[in-house]
Amino acid sequence: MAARTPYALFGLPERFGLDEIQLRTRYDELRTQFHPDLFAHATAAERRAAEGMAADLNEAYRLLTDPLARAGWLLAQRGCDPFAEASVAMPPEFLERQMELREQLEELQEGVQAAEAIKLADEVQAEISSRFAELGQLIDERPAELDAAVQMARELKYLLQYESQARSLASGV
Amino acid sequence: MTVFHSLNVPDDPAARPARRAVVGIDLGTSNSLVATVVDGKAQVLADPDGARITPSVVRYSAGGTVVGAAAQAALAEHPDEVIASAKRLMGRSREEVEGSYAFDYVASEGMVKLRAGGRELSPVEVSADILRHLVASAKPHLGEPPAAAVITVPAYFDDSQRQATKDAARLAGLEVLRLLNEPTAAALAYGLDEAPAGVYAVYDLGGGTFDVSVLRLRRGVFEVIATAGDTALGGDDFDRSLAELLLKKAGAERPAGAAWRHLLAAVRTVKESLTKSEQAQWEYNGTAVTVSRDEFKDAVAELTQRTIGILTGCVADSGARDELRGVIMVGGASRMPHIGAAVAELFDVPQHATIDPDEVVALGAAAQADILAGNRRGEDGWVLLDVTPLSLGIETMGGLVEKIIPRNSALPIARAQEFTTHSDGQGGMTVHVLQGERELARDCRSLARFTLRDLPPLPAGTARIRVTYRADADGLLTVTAEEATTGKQAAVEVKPSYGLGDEEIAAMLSAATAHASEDIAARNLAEARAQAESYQAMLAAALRADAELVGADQAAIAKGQEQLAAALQGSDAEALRQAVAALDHACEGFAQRRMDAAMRAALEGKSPEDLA
Repeated sequence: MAARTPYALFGLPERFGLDEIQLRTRYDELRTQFHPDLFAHATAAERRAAEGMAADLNEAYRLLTDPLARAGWLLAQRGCDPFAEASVAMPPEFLERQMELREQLEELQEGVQAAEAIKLADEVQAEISSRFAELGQLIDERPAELDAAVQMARELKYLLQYESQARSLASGV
Repeated sequence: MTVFHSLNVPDDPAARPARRAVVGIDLGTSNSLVATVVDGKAQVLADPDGARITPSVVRYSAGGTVVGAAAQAALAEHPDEVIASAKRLMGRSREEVEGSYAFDYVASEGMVKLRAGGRELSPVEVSADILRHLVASAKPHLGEPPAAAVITVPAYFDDSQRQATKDAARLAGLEVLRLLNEPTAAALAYGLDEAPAGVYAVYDLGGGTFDVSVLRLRRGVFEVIATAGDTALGGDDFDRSLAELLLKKAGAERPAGAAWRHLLAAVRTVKESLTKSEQAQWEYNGTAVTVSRDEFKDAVAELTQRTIGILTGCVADSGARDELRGVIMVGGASRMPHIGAAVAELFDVPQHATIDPDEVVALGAAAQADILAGNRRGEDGWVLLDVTPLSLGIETMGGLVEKIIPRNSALPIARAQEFTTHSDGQGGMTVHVLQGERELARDCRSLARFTLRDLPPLPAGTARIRVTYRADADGLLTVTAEEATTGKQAAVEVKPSYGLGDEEIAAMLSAATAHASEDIAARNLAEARAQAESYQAMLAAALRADAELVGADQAAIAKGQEQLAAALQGSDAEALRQAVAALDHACEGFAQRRMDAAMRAALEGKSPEDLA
């Protein structure tokens, strides 16, 4: 095996789109098979190696099941880590959308109405889903449009934060 | 249960050591138990007096150290010689516990210390004495002292509480195979016995701690998906509420010190009667009082509600609410009828309590010890997958916490994050390690603080300091930090803020073994020799299986083997252990390559086109 990249560990192709059921099945198989507790009759060095493998599998699974982290990893492999630098100019359309969302969140903060917070969260969630679908397209099918993919990933990071804020407001946290 | 035969470890009879005598220990706040597996079945071991449950109480007097029922009996007459419920203080500083629990504290830095029988003791030493007692109880059953143990801890124990428990075992001279979470141990005991596949919640109300875990059970796999709890909420709190209710009814004031502790012991009997009947009687200073089950229920409503709130939150966190098939009831305090009723109101699923709730944790621990010692092979194996109970984070600018490992992450785990300097030529950076869910550093538990010094002089924002958090299968954390820009590295290992130092443990150990008899030294040598021989056999099996993976390590491994063989000719236990450690170090690369080769083999035939 080359490096223990998240995809290589699970024997999966480096694509954004992946079969989650297949990934879960493989994760379950591998982490039981490489469970450090099964190395009672092995040398301490091998138990440590098994523990390292178990930690790598857990971390790889987490990354692959988190779409934003997965996109970030794939783009970083192509030399463009979308989350490396903090100060990046965002396009005006997105800045406008951000301002709009911030205003809505502020209004909700003043007089929290659970139903409206849920409505906003659901609305942002729908936007996130469609953008992830588009990001998957860009990464897997249109590798030439690297800049667009990087931009999309950055915008998604903000949108996910807004969704989570709206959900917190809805549950009164 | 199913077969999990690891590809990496050939089942070579030559490498299979003799069955090891191992135990599972439930080191509880109020009571402790020791269990072992006999003929494939876990059973609790009684002490020479026939007691299966040992009160976690120790008496220190001129006559020596006494553990268990005899120490508890001396509580009323010699309160200044007796320590009970020391578990509440494990890994805690004096400021943290002084207001909550009445003990005879001694002024001390770091972990809290107590006075008893004219001695100053850390809760770790008290726990070590309880462990020694349990080991001695197990010896006649096993025919020899246990070689190693699985010790259970509350799932919600933080890093310093876990480390303190491990230190207690070290002081007692007991090898720890694993610190196992109490609810996980209970689920294991049920899973092996009766529970079919599915999602289960474990409601574990012990003497001093409360835990909830949600597990997914399937063939041979026990997977914890969420855990929550309160390490300062337990059956004892229900006792206190009942005592206050009874005093109020008797028109009496709360007594102080030993009298109050004595009263609590009497109240426990009232509580147990209320589990069996609708009413109970109590007499205090000549006044007879009758209390009903409903009055008790009302008096503890708030405590009950706290446990129910934690249970609800944990099931929600698991994301498996709709799949819940049952609730496993654990801990003596879970017997109170209103607890079962409150749980039933929330979840309309069967409650499992067929295994004695006082014994179930020790039974699960014994079963896991059997697996970890390698006594059980093939047909009936299983694996446990557990999670971190609390988020692990780092303090950032403005006293905020950035989470590096979120709670309920699967163990073991290693995660790194990069940080940078905020001023030009900044020479050092302090890493403050925190555990907890709150956003502000001051609201979380401080685990450790260390400073990475001698950073290369770089402009602000260009240094790259990589901080790595690692939590092992015991849930214990190690943190390392290094500056990566210039290739110059500095790494620091962390010891918990309220832990015992290595010197402190060494001093306690030498005090304990100062009078050790010659047969302890002989036993020590026999153990070291057995470990060295088993290492030789295990390595030989690995070399036979994968000789081609030895590569450049050939010479170093051969040298290590020779040195170990030479040490085996002598009779120096320490030299044997060092020779094993040196050989093991030489095998590091070989072990890694075997692991990678096994992984390659595991993926073969799955989707070869993807592996290109």
